[in-house]
Amino acid sequence: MNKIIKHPPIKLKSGSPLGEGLKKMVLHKQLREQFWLGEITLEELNLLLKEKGINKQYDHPRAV
Amino acid sequence: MIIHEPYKFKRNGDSYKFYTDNDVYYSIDFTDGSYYFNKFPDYLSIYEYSLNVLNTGKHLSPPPDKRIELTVVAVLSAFLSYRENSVIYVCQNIDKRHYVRKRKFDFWFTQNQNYNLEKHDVAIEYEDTAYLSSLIIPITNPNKDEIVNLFIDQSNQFNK
Repeated sequence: MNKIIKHPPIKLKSGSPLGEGLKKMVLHKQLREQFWLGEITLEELNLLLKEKGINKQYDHPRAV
Repeated sequence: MIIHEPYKFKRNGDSYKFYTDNDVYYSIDFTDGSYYFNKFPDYLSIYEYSLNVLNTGKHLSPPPDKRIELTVVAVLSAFLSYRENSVIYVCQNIDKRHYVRKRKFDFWFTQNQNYNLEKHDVAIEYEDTAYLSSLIIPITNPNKDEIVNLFIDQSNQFNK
């Protein structure tokens, strides 16, 4: 049987490593979606990832 | 009454792929999620989950399809039962619909009662944005308590 356990909400201070990691995680997903939708090319995607400090590069469109 | 079933999927390593009735080709990928943590022991493993569209077929964007939801839950369950592992999931908040996504995901999760999974939820507020973060772990995972504690402590240690 599946079970959901809720923990108390938290508020992070600006500059917290976890907060910055969450921002990057969500931005990474957004940029990949932009690529799938044809809004940016593979080269632009890789450049944006680098600029935003996301340590990931894609060699081939199918890998995105 | 229409009874929906998950699509049949093919596993290739940590990637699961399936075609929908609309010829849309999806991939559900599990990649290392340890970077989410400040320190994560080498002897444990945790994965990040992502749903990707590989090909939209004849469509500009994937059409709505209830069977995709069921397939996501089936794949998650297959991955977790095979690995006895854990998955971290952050609801995307770019379009401010993350609470809707979470409710939807919770509905699928609780509707599928056959898998003995636990989902630990923490809402994290950072720079005026809410991040809904979840850890999904099988009850049978031998390291469950340790991984859950790492997930909760990780969230709390920066809350000071």
